[in-house]
Order: sequence, then structure tokens, then C-alpha cells
Amino acid sequence: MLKSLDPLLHSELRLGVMSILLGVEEADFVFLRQETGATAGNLSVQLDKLQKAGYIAVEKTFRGKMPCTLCRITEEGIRAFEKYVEALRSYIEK
Amino acid sequence: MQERKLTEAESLALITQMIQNTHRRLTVNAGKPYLIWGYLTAGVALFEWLVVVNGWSFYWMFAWWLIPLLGFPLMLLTCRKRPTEPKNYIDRAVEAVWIACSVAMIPAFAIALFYRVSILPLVTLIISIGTLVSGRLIAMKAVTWGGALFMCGTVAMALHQFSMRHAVVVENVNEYTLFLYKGEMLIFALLFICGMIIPGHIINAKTRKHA
Repeated sequence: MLKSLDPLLHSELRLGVMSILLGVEEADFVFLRQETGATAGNLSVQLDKLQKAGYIAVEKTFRGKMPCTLCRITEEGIRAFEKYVEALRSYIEK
Repeated sequence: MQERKLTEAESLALITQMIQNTHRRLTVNAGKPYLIWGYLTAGVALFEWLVVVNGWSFYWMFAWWLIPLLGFPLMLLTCRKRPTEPKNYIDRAVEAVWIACSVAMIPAFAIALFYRVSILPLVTLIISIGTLVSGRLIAMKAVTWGGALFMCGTVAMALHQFSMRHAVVVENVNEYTLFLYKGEMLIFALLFICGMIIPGHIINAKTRKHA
């Protein structure tokens, strides 16, 4: 039986963000925007969704006098990502 | 990138692409630290060799201090990441290895000073560990081989000192010291050219090609 795909991760932008965060300790909003090419508004909404699901932790801080939003993947996010990749494999191998 | 649903194949392709893009972006010019330390150390070692060969003033020996005095500020100026660029776990591990190697130079200096032995083989040994571990961490064969070369160089330097002590009969201690020193400095410079400068250029060429 095929495993169901996590709807939260099965979206281009959210999956892109999770893939980036998987390889770094933490990334700031500007870096994520550059890497994904998303608009600030859209990225902000998607980050909020991932944060509410507990997949990422968001910390709002300051770098000098500039506000800075740091995102990092959580343990729960890593587990969800692993499950998602596992499910993808089962679909592709069917 | 938008908030749209993907097919399974697209999802996998996207994951692979994003991970690769981030890795490439973070490794562009990763060879710079090797080039800075390589050129600086090889340059100073060759200069010191000229000092010894030409019998210039002993005070030129203080030029060795140019390596840390120029190297650390140059690293801070040119290799510092932009504040927006994230660090990954490999960056942190490599940084920790080199911090440990830099600190290990202090006891190496103390050993050389108190036991009156040349510091160059000790420095080479420390650098070999740093280079070898970094090469394994960043998965760059050129750097790993550079580290192995440094390790072989340490053995070569130790053999060089041993052979000098036993094979050369010299009456004057200063002459003996200079004779020993000359060959050692050339080996030292050569090691930095082959073990740091060449791998540094290889890394930069590879990362630029994939960027």
C-alpha cells in the first residue's frame, strides 16, 4: 500500500525551504528568499505554516541594527522530511 | 518558486537540486584559506632559505612571524562569510579542526624552544592532521592527498635531521645548524606548494565550474 504524502511538504516552496534547511545549521530570511526566488510575502506565509506545524523554528533577532529572521529545521521537521522522502520512493518504485 | 503541488518525480528532483545548489553556493572559493596560508608560508620559507644561503643578517629570521601576523588578518578580511550566508555542519567541523591546529602551534613552539629542536617538522605534522581531516570532511581528494603529503613530509624532515646529525661531520655548530636548516626550509616550502597551493587551486576550479 502506498504511503500518503505529507500535504504540508508536498508544495514546491515549502519543500524547497525544508531541503535548504536540512543542509545548514540555520538560514536567514534573505538567504532563503535568494535561494528559492520567492517573494518576501509568499515566503513569510509558508515559513509561518512550517513553524505552526513544528517543522521549523523561527527566531526573530537583530544583526546590528537590522532585524533578522533565522530559521532552522527541528527534529520533528527532520522526521517529517524523512517520512516524506520514504513515501516518495514508494510512489516512484511502484 | 511558488506554492504549487508537485508530482513525485518533481519533488525528488527539487530536493536534490536545492541541496546541491546550497552546497555549491556555500563552497564557492572554499580553496581561498589554503591559498592564503600556502602562498604566505611557502613565500616566507623560500625567503628564509635565501637568508640562510646568502648569509644575510640573523634578524631576517623574525620574518617567520609574518606568517601569523599577515595570515590571520588576511583570513578575517577575505574568508569571512557574509552575515546572510548560513554555516553548515561541515563548516563548523572544519573550523574546529583548524582552531585546534592553530592552538597546537603554541606547545609546538614551546617544545622547539625548550628542547632546541627545529619547529618545522612539528608544524608540518600539525598541518598534516588539519589538512587530512579537512580533506575527508569536505570530501576533496586533492586536500586529503595534500594532508598525506604533509605527513610524508614530516617523516622526510625527521629523516633529514637524523641523517644530518649522523652523516655530516662538521666542526662548527653554527655551520651544522645552517646546513640542517637549509634543506629543511626547502622541503617545508615545497610541501606547502604541493599540499596547500595546488589543492587550493583545484578546489576553486571545481567549485567555480559547478557554480
